Amino acid sequence: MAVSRRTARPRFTLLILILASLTLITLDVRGGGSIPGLRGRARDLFSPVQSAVSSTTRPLTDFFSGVFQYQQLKSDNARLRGQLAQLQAQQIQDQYLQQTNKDLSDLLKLDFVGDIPTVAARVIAGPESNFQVTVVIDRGSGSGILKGMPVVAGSGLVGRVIAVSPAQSTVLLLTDASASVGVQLAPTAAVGVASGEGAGHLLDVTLFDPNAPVTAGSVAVTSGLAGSPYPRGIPVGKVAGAVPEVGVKARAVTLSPVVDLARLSYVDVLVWTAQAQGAASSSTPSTGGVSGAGSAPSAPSTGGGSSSGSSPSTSTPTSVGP
Amino acid sequence: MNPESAWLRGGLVVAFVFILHEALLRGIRIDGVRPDLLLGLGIVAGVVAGPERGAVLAFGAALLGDLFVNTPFGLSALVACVVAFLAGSVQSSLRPTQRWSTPVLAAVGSVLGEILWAAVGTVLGLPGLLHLHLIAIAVVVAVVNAALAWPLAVVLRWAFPGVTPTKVSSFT
Repeated sequence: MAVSRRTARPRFTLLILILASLTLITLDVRGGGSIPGLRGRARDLFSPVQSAVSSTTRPLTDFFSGVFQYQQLKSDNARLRGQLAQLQAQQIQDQYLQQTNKDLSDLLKLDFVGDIPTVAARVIAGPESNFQVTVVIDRGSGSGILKGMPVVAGSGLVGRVIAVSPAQSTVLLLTDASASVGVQLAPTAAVGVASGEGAGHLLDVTLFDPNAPVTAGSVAVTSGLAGSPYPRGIPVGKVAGAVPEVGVKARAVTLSPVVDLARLSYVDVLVWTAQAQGAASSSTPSTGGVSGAGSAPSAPSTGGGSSSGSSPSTSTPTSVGP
Repeated sequence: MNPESAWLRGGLVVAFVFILHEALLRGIRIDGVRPDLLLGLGIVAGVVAGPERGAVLAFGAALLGDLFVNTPFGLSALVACVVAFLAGSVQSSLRPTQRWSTPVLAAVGSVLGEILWAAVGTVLGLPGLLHLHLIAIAVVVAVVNAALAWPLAVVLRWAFPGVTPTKVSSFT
Protein backbone atom coordinates (compact mmCIF):
# COMPACT_ATOMS: atom_id res chain seq x y z
CA MET A 1 0.00 0.00 0.00
CA ALA A 2 1.34 3.34 -0.99
CA VAL A 3 2.12 5.70 1.85
CA SER A 4 1.24 9.34 1.20
CA ARG A 5 3.72 12.13 1.85
CA ARG A 6 1.49 13.42 4.62
CA THR A 7 1.66 10.17 6.57
CA ALA A 8 5.29 9.41 5.73
CA ARG A 9 6.67 12.70 7.10
CA PRO A 10 6.06 11.92 10.79
CA ARG A 11 7.93 8.66 10.41
CA PHE A 12 10.80 10.42 8.70
CA THR A 13 10.92 12.96 11.53
CA LEU A 14 10.94 10.16 14.11
CA LEU A 15 13.76 8.44 12.25
CA ILE A 16 15.79 11.66 12.29
CA LEU A 17 15.18 12.07 16.05
CA ILE A 18 16.19 8.46 16.74
CA LEU A 19 19.36 8.85 14.71
CA ALA A 20 20.15 12.11 16.51
CA SER A 21 19.64 10.42 19.89
CA LEU A 22 21.83 7.47 18.95
CA THR A 23 24.55 9.85 17.75
CA LEU A 24 24.47 11.79 21.03
CA ILE A 25 24.50 8.58 23.09
CA THR A 26 27.44 7.25 21.11
CA LEU A 27 29.36 10.50 21.49
CA ASP A 28 28.73 10.54 25.23
CA VAL A 29 29.46 6.88 25.94
CA ARG A 30 32.63 6.95 23.84
CA GLY A 31 33.78 10.07 25.66
CA GLY A 32 34.02 12.31 22.65
CA GLY A 33 32.74 15.81 22.11
CA SER A 34 32.01 18.47 24.65
CA ILE A 35 29.01 16.84 26.35
CA PRO A 36 30.55 16.67 29.87
CA GLY A 37 31.46 20.36 29.65
CA LEU A 38 28.01 21.19 28.30
CA ARG A 39 26.41 19.40 31.25
CA GLY A 40 28.58 21.25 33.73
CA ARG A 41 27.77 24.63 32.20
CA ALA A 42 24.05 23.82 32.07
CA ARG A 43 24.03 22.87 35.75
CA ASP A 44 25.88 26.00 36.78
CA LEU A 45 23.61 28.15 34.61
CA PHE A 46 20.45 26.60 36.02
CA SER A 47 21.67 26.44 39.60
CA PRO A 48 20.54 29.99 40.59
CA VAL A 49 17.09 29.41 39.06
CA GLN A 50 16.84 26.07 40.80
CA SER A 51 17.83 27.56 44.14
CA ALA A 52 15.39 30.46 43.78
CA VAL A 53 12.45 28.27 42.78
CA SER A 54 13.33 25.63 45.37
CA SER A 55 13.45 28.14 48.22
CA THR A 56 10.21 29.77 47.05
CA THR A 57 8.34 26.51 46.72
CA ARG A 58 9.95 24.74 49.67
CA PRO A 59 6.80 24.87 51.83
CA LEU A 60 4.84 23.24 49.02
CA THR A 61 7.54 20.64 48.41
CA ASP A 62 7.82 19.91 52.12
CA PHE A 63 4.05 19.52 52.29
CA PHE A 64 3.98 16.95 49.49
CA SER A 65 7.05 15.20 50.89
CA GLY A 66 5.27 15.01 54.23
CA VAL A 67 2.14 13.60 52.60
CA PHE A 68 3.98 10.98 50.61
CA GLN A 69 6.37 10.05 53.43
CA TYR A 70 3.98 10.29 56.36
CA GLN A 71 4.18 6.61 57.25
CA GLN A 72 7.94 6.64 56.98
CA LEU A 73 8.20 9.75 59.19
CA LYS A 74 5.91 8.14 61.72
CA SER A 75 7.93 4.95 61.87
CA ASP A 76 11.17 6.97 61.90
CA ASN A 77 9.87 8.90 64.88
CA ALA A 78 9.06 5.73 66.78
CA ARG A 79 12.34 4.15 65.83
CA LEU A 80 14.33 7.24 66.88
CA ARG A 81 12.59 7.38 70.24
CA GLY A 82 13.56 3.76 70.82
CA GLN A 83 17.10 4.44 69.70
CA LEU A 84 17.36 7.44 72.01
CA ALA A 85 16.47 5.29 74.99
CA GLN A 86 18.98 2.67 73.96
CA LEU A 87 21.67 5.25 73.34
CA GLN A 88 21.24 6.78 76.75
CA ALA A 89 21.66 3.34 78.29
CA GLN A 90 24.71 2.64 76.21
CA GLN A 91 26.40 5.96 76.82
CA ILE A 92 28.59 4.70 79.61
CA GLN A 93 29.46 1.58 77.73
CA ASP A 94 30.32 3.67 74.67
CA GLN A 95 32.97 5.58 76.58
CA TYR A 96 34.71 2.32 77.29
CA LEU A 97 34.24 1.12 73.71
CA GLN A 98 35.57 4.40 72.41
CA GLN A 99 38.82 3.88 74.24
CA THR A 100 38.96 0.29 73.05
CA ASN A 101 38.22 1.38 69.50
CA LYS A 102 41.01 3.94 69.64
CA ASP A 103 43.46 1.32 70.79
CA LEU A 104 42.38 -1.12 68.07
CA SER A 105 42.50 1.60 65.45
CA ASP A 106 46.04 2.41 66.46
CA LEU A 107 46.91 -1.25 66.19
CA LEU A 108 45.33 -1.60 62.75
CA LYS A 109 46.65 1.80 61.69
CA LEU A 110 43.20 2.93 60.64
CA ASP A 111 44.17 6.24 59.15
CA PHE A 112 40.57 7.31 58.53
CA VAL A 113 41.06 10.64 56.81
CA GLY A 114 44.23 11.27 58.83
CA ASP A 115 46.13 14.17 57.31
CA ILE A 116 44.32 14.03 53.97
CA PRO A 117 42.90 17.49 53.25
CA THR A 118 39.13 17.63 52.95
CA VAL A 119 36.53 19.89 51.37
CA ALA A 120 33.32 20.17 53.35
CA ALA A 121 30.20 20.19 51.19
CA ARG A 122 26.47 20.30 51.64
CA VAL A 123 24.19 17.79 49.95
CA ILE A 124 21.86 19.92 47.85
CA ALA A 125 19.93 17.29 45.91
CA GLY A 126 19.13 13.64 46.00
CA PRO A 127 19.29 11.21 43.10
CA GLU A 128 19.00 12.96 39.74
CA SER A 129 17.60 9.84 38.16
CA ASN A 130 15.48 6.90 39.26
CA PHE A 131 18.17 4.60 37.98
CA GLN A 132 21.24 5.90 39.82
CA VAL A 133 21.95 6.24 43.52
CA THR A 134 23.66 9.61 43.61
CA VAL A 135 23.61 12.91 45.48
CA VAL A 136 24.61 16.37 44.34
CA ILE A 137 26.90 18.48 46.55
CA ASP A 138 27.47 22.22 46.47
CA ARG A 139 31.21 22.12 45.82
CA GLY A 140 32.91 21.54 42.49
CA SER A 141 36.15 21.99 40.66
CA GLY A 142 36.26 25.56 41.93
CA SER A 143 36.90 24.11 45.39
CA GLY A 144 39.54 21.70 44.18
CA ILE A 145 37.29 18.69 43.75
CA LEU A 146 38.20 16.28 40.99
CA LYS A 147 36.41 13.34 39.47
CA GLY A 148 37.17 10.14 41.41
CA MET A 149 37.79 11.69 44.81
CA PRO A 150 36.40 9.71 47.78
CA VAL A 151 33.56 11.20 49.79
CA VAL A 152 33.05 10.51 53.49
CA ALA A 153 30.59 11.49 56.17
CA GLY A 154 30.99 11.51 59.94
CA SER A 155 31.34 7.77 60.41
CA GLY A 156 32.72 6.46 57.15
CA LEU A 157 32.69 6.15 53.41
CA VAL A 158 29.83 7.59 51.35
CA GLY A 159 31.03 7.07 47.77
CA ARG A 160 33.04 8.88 45.17
CA VAL A 161 32.75 11.84 42.85
CA ILE A 162 31.69 10.86 39.33
CA ALA A 163 30.97 14.24 37.76
CA VAL A 164 32.27 17.69 38.49
CA SER A 165 31.27 21.13 37.35
CA PRO A 166 32.76 24.38 38.67
CA ALA A 167 30.14 24.77 41.40
CA GLN A 168 28.66 21.29 41.93
CA SER A 169 29.64 17.65 41.98
CA THR A 170 27.73 14.42 41.68
CA VAL A 171 28.61 11.66 44.13
CA LEU A 172 27.91 8.01 43.33
CA LEU A 173 26.90 6.37 46.59
CA LEU A 174 28.21 3.01 47.76
CA THR A 175 24.85 1.36 47.32
CA ASP A 176 24.58 2.07 43.59
CA ALA A 177 24.59 -1.13 41.55
CA SER A 178 27.66 0.01 39.65
CA ALA A 179 29.68 0.95 42.75
CA SER A 180 32.20 -1.36 44.39
CA VAL A 181 34.98 -0.92 46.90
CA GLY A 182 37.82 -3.08 48.14
CA VAL A 183 37.35 -3.87 51.82
CA GLN A 184 39.28 -5.44 54.65
CA LEU A 185 37.36 -7.00 57.50
CA ALA A 186 38.49 -6.45 61.07
CA PRO A 187 39.83 -8.21 63.03
CA THR A 188 40.65 -11.09 60.63
CA ALA A 189 42.02 -8.84 57.86
CA ALA A 190 40.09 -10.84 55.27
CA VAL A 191 40.07 -8.91 52.00
CA GLY A 192 37.27 -8.72 49.44
CA VAL A 193 35.15 -6.46 47.28
CA ALA A 194 31.91 -4.90 48.48
CA SER A 195 29.42 -4.13 45.71
CA GLY A 196 26.29 -2.00 45.79
CA GLU A 197 22.90 -3.62 45.28
CA GLY A 198 20.72 -0.55 44.96
CA ALA A 199 19.34 2.09 47.32
CA GLY A 200 18.27 0.71 50.68
CA HIS A 201 19.98 -2.62 50.14
CA LEU A 202 22.99 -4.07 51.92
CA LEU A 203 26.38 -4.26 50.21
CA ASP A 204 27.29 -7.65 48.83
CA VAL A 205 30.83 -8.79 49.70
CA THR A 206 32.93 -11.16 47.64
CA LEU A 207 35.87 -12.39 49.70
CA PHE A 208 39.13 -13.24 47.97
CA ASP A 209 39.52 -16.14 50.38
CA PRO A 210 36.11 -17.85 50.73
CA ASN A 211 37.29 -19.64 53.87
CA ALA A 212 38.36 -16.52 55.71
CA PRO A 213 36.61 -16.22 59.07
CA VAL A 214 33.88 -13.59 59.17
CA THR A 215 32.09 -12.42 62.26
CA ALA A 216 28.74 -10.68 62.19
CA GLY A 217 29.07 -7.12 63.42
CA SER A 218 32.74 -6.78 62.57
CA VAL A 219 33.78 -3.59 60.83
CA ALA A 220 34.93 -3.45 57.21
CA VAL A 221 37.28 -0.70 56.13
CA THR A 222 38.64 0.23 52.72
CA SER A 223 41.54 -2.06 51.85
CA GLY A 224 43.54 0.64 50.07
CA LEU A 225 45.37 -1.90 47.93
CA ALA A 226 47.53 -0.46 45.18
CA GLY A 227 45.33 0.99 42.47
CA SER A 228 42.33 1.33 44.72
CA PRO A 229 40.51 4.62 44.32
CA TYR A 230 40.08 4.88 48.10
CA PRO A 231 42.72 5.41 50.77
CA ARG A 232 43.15 2.65 53.31
CA GLY A 233 41.22 2.46 56.54
CA ILE A 234 37.98 4.32 55.88
CA PRO A 235 35.09 2.52 57.61
CA VAL A 236 32.67 1.15 55.00
CA GLY A 237 30.21 -0.97 56.89
CA LYS A 238 29.51 -3.63 59.44
CA VAL A 239 29.02 -7.27 58.58
CA ALA A 240 25.28 -7.82 58.66
CA GLY A 241 25.37 -11.49 57.81
CA ALA A 242 27.56 -14.34 56.57
CA VAL A 243 25.36 -17.14 55.33
CA PRO A 244 26.87 -20.29 53.71
CA GLU A 245 25.76 -20.60 50.09
CA VAL A 246 24.30 -23.88 48.93
CA GLY A 247 26.44 -25.93 46.56
CA VAL A 248 29.55 -23.77 46.66
CA LYS A 249 32.32 -23.36 49.18
CA ALA A 250 31.55 -19.73 49.88
CA ARG A 251 29.35 -17.50 52.00
CA ALA A 252 26.99 -14.72 51.15
CA VAL A 253 28.53 -11.91 53.17
CA THR A 254 26.59 -8.66 53.43
CA LEU A 255 27.63 -5.29 54.81
CA SER A 256 25.44 -2.62 56.32
CA PRO A 257 26.94 0.80 55.47
CA VAL A 258 28.13 2.70 58.54
CA VAL A 259 26.79 5.93 57.08
CA ASP A 260 23.04 6.42 56.73
CA LEU A 261 23.11 7.12 53.01
CA ALA A 262 19.42 7.96 52.90
CA ARG A 263 19.87 10.99 55.13
CA LEU A 264 23.01 12.75 54.09
CA SER A 265 23.27 16.45 54.89
CA TYR A 266 26.95 17.28 54.95
CA VAL A 267 29.88 15.35 53.59
CA ASP A 268 33.64 15.71 53.29
CA VAL A 269 35.38 15.21 49.98
CA LEU A 270 38.89 13.82 50.46
CA VAL A 271 41.36 15.70 48.31
CA TRP A 272 42.98 12.46 47.33
CA THR A 273 43.25 10.55 44.08
CA ALA A 274 44.71 7.14 43.46
CA GLN A 275 46.70 8.56 40.57
CA ALA A 276 48.43 11.13 42.75
CA GLN A 277 48.96 8.53 45.43
CA GLY A 278 50.36 6.11 42.87
CA ALA A 279 52.79 8.75 41.64
CA ALA A 280 53.91 9.46 45.19
CA SER A 281 54.61 5.82 45.85
CA SER A 282 55.54 4.67 42.37
CA SER A 283 58.09 2.25 43.74
CA THR A 284 55.33 0.13 45.27
CA PRO A 285 54.46 -2.79 42.97
CA SER A 286 50.82 -3.09 41.94
CA THR A 287 48.96 -5.86 43.66
CA GLY A 288 45.90 -5.72 41.48
CA GLY A 289 43.67 -3.49 43.49
CA VAL A 290 39.96 -3.76 43.26
CA SER A 291 39.67 -0.99 40.71
CA GLY A 292 39.17 -1.98 37.12
CA ALA A 293 41.76 -0.83 34.66
CA GLY A 294 39.51 1.76 33.20
CA SER A 295 38.01 2.96 36.41
CA ALA A 296 40.91 4.48 38.27
CA PRO A 297 40.13 8.09 38.91
CA SER A 298 41.90 10.42 36.59
CA ALA A 299 42.70 13.96 37.51
CA PRO A 300 41.97 16.48 34.78
CA SER A 301 45.01 18.39 33.72
CA THR A 302 43.48 21.83 34.12
CA GLY A 303 41.41 23.35 36.79
CA GLY A 304 39.52 25.84 34.70
CA GLY A 305 35.97 25.41 33.51
CA SER A 306 34.39 22.05 33.79
CA SER A 307 36.79 19.57 35.23
CA SER A 308 35.13 16.50 33.91
CA GLY A 309 38.19 16.08 31.77
CA SER A 310 38.13 13.91 28.74
CA SER A 311 36.41 11.04 30.44
CA PRO A 312 32.71 10.71 29.96
CA SER A 313 30.70 11.70 32.99
CA THR A 314 28.13 9.02 32.36
CA SER A 315 27.41 6.05 34.55
CA THR A 316 28.90 3.49 32.24
CA PRO A 317 30.67 0.75 34.15
CA THR A 318 34.10 2.01 33.19
CA SER A 319 33.49 5.42 34.67
CA VAL A 320 31.90 4.57 37.95
CA GLY A 321 33.68 1.42 38.95
CA PRO A 322 35.50 0.90 42.21
CA MET B 1 -1.51 30.90 14.46
CA ASN B 2 1.60 30.36 12.37
CA PRO B 3 3.87 27.39 13.08
CA GLU B 4 6.66 29.60 14.46
CA SER B 5 4.37 31.02 17.15
CA ALA B 6 3.19 27.52 18.04
CA TRP B 7 6.73 26.26 18.49
CA LEU B 8 7.63 29.37 20.48
CA ARG B 9 4.76 28.63 22.82
CA GLY B 10 5.80 24.98 22.88
CA GLY B 11 9.27 26.05 23.96
CA LEU B 12 7.80 28.16 26.75
CA VAL B 13 5.76 25.18 27.94
CA VAL B 14 8.87 22.98 27.92
CA ALA B 15 10.80 25.61 29.90
CA PHE B 16 7.97 25.97 32.43
CA VAL B 17 7.56 22.22 32.92
CA PHE B 18 11.32 21.76 33.07
CA ILE B 19 11.60 24.28 35.92
CA LEU B 20 8.75 22.51 37.72
CA HIS B 21 10.47 19.18 37.17
CA GLU B 22 13.97 20.23 38.24
CA ALA B 23 13.16 22.68 41.01
CA LEU B 24 9.79 21.76 42.46
CA LEU B 25 9.61 18.01 41.95
CA ARG B 26 13.29 17.41 42.63
CA GLY B 27 12.79 16.88 46.34
CA ILE B 28 9.58 14.89 46.06
CA ARG B 29 9.86 11.13 46.27
CA ILE B 30 6.93 8.74 46.24
CA ASP B 31 8.04 5.35 47.52
CA GLY B 32 11.57 6.47 46.71
CA VAL B 33 10.67 7.32 43.12
CA ARG B 34 10.98 10.74 41.54
CA PRO B 35 8.10 11.70 39.21
CA ASP B 36 9.14 12.11 35.58
CA LEU B 37 7.14 15.10 34.40
CA LEU B 38 9.24 15.61 31.27
CA LEU B 39 8.28 12.17 29.98
CA GLY B 40 4.63 12.93 30.72
CA LEU B 41 4.89 16.22 28.85
CA GLY B 42 6.24 14.46 25.78
CA ILE B 43 3.52 11.82 25.80
CA VAL B 44 0.72 14.34 26.22
CA ALA B 45 2.29 16.46 23.47
CA GLY B 46 2.02 13.44 21.20
CA VAL B 47 -1.64 13.03 22.14
CA VAL B 48 -2.54 16.71 21.78
CA ALA B 49 -0.35 17.88 18.92
CA GLY B 50 0.11 14.67 16.97
CA PRO B 51 2.91 12.13 16.69
CA GLU B 52 5.35 14.32 14.77
CA ARG B 53 5.13 17.46 16.89
CA GLY B 54 4.88 15.33 20.02
CA ALA B 55 8.05 13.43 19.16
CA VAL B 56 9.97 16.66 18.49
CA LEU B 57 8.75 18.31 21.70
CA ALA B 58 9.41 15.15 23.74
CA PHE B 59 12.88 14.91 22.25
CA GLY B 60 13.68 18.51 23.18
CA ALA B 61 12.29 18.27 26.70
CA ALA B 62 14.01 14.98 27.47
CA LEU B 63 17.30 16.19 25.99
CA LEU B 64 17.12 19.17 28.33
CA GLY B 65 16.53 16.78 31.22
CA ASP B 66 19.48 14.65 30.07
CA LEU B 67 21.77 17.59 30.76
CA PHE B 68 21.07 17.25 34.46
CA VAL B 69 21.56 13.52 34.98
CA ASN B 70 24.66 11.37 34.64
CA THR B 71 23.18 8.72 32.42
CA PRO B 72 24.11 8.61 28.71
CA PHE B 73 23.23 11.90 27.05
CA GLY B 74 20.36 11.36 24.65
CA LEU B 75 19.01 8.16 26.20
CA SER B 76 15.93 9.81 27.70
CA ALA B 77 15.44 11.79 24.49
CA LEU B 78 15.48 8.59 22.45
CA VAL B 79 12.91 6.91 24.66
CA ALA B 80 10.70 9.99 25.01
CA CYS B 81 10.43 10.70 21.28
CA VAL B 82 9.57 7.09 20.49
CA VAL B 83 6.93 6.87 23.23
CA ALA B 84 5.44 10.27 22.31
CA PHE B 85 5.25 9.23 18.69
CA LEU B 86 3.49 5.97 19.61
CA ALA B 87 1.06 7.79 21.91
CA GLY B 88 0.27 10.32 19.20
CA SER B 89 -0.22 7.57 16.64
CA VAL B 90 -2.60 5.66 18.89
CA GLN B 91 -4.54 8.83 19.66
CA SER B 92 -4.89 9.68 15.97
CA SER B 93 -6.35 6.24 15.30
CA LEU B 94 -9.12 6.67 17.89
CA ARG B 95 -12.49 7.58 16.34
CA PRO B 96 -14.03 9.60 17.83
CA THR B 97 -11.38 11.07 20.16
CA GLN B 98 -12.03 9.82 23.66
CA ARG B 99 -11.71 12.11 26.68
CA TRP B 100 -10.17 9.42 28.82
CA SER B 101 -7.51 8.67 26.25
CA THR B 102 -5.11 11.41 27.44
CA PRO B 103 -4.54 10.10 31.00
CA VAL B 104 -4.66 6.47 29.87
CA LEU B 105 -2.10 7.03 27.14
CA ALA B 106 0.01 9.06 29.59
CA ALA B 107 -0.02 6.15 32.04
CA VAL B 108 0.62 3.42 29.49
CA GLY B 109 3.24 5.52 27.73
CA SER B 110 5.00 6.19 31.04
CA VAL B 111 5.19 2.50 31.89
CA LEU B 112 6.47 1.77 28.39
CA GLY B 113 8.94 4.64 28.61
CA GLU B 114 10.45 3.55 31.93
CA ILE B 115 10.77 -0.07 30.81
CA LEU B 116 12.24 0.99 27.48
CA TRP B 117 14.69 3.28 29.27
CA ALA B 118 15.86 0.46 31.52
CA ALA B 119 16.11 -1.96 28.60
CA VAL B 120 18.11 0.39 26.38
CA GLY B 121 20.23 1.43 29.36
CA THR B 122 21.02 -2.22 30.03
CA VAL B 123 21.98 -2.70 26.38
CA LEU B 124 24.34 0.28 26.77
CA GLY B 125 25.96 -1.38 29.78
CA LEU B 126 24.32 0.40 32.70
CA PRO B 127 24.12 -2.14 35.54
CA GLY B 128 21.23 -3.02 37.83
CA LEU B 129 18.36 -1.43 35.88
CA LEU B 130 16.18 -4.46 35.24
CA HIS B 131 15.14 -5.29 38.78
CA LEU B 132 11.92 -5.36 40.79
CA HIS B 133 12.19 -1.69 41.75
CA LEU B 134 11.59 -0.90 38.08
CA ILE B 135 7.95 -1.89 38.64
CA ALA B 136 7.63 0.69 41.41
CA ILE B 137 9.29 3.32 39.24
CA ALA B 138 6.98 2.59 36.30
CA VAL B 139 3.86 2.58 38.45
CA VAL B 140 4.64 5.82 40.29
CA VAL B 141 5.67 7.67 37.13
CA ALA B 142 2.57 6.39 35.34
CA VAL B 143 0.18 7.42 38.12
CA VAL B 144 1.67 10.91 38.46
CA ASN B 145 1.71 11.49 34.71
CA ALA B 146 -1.86 10.24 34.38
CA ALA B 147 -2.95 12.61 37.14
CA LEU B 148 -1.19 15.55 35.48
CA ALA B 149 -2.21 14.62 31.94
CA TRP B 150 -5.19 16.97 31.71
CA PRO B 151 -3.37 20.07 33.03
CA LEU B 152 -0.51 19.30 30.65
CA ALA B 153 -3.00 18.86 27.82
CA VAL B 154 -4.49 22.28 28.57
CA VAL B 155 -1.16 24.09 28.33
CA LEU B 156 -0.17 22.12 25.24
CA ARG B 157 -3.48 22.98 23.54
CA TRP B 158 -2.63 26.61 24.26
CA ALA B 159 0.71 26.07 22.54
CA PHE B 160 -0.69 24.13 19.60
CA PRO B 161 -4.28 25.38 19.14
CA GLY B 162 -6.50 23.70 16.58
CA VAL B 163 -3.92 21.10 15.68
CA THR B 164 -5.28 18.01 13.98
CA PRO B 165 -2.94 15.12 14.67
CA THR B 166 -1.48 13.67 11.51
CA LYS B 167 -2.46 10.07 10.97
CA VAL B 168 0.28 7.52 10.55
CA SER B 169 -0.55 4.81 8.05
CA SER B 170 0.40 1.85 10.23
CA PHE B 171 -2.14 2.89 12.85
CA THR B 172 -5.03 3.57 10.49
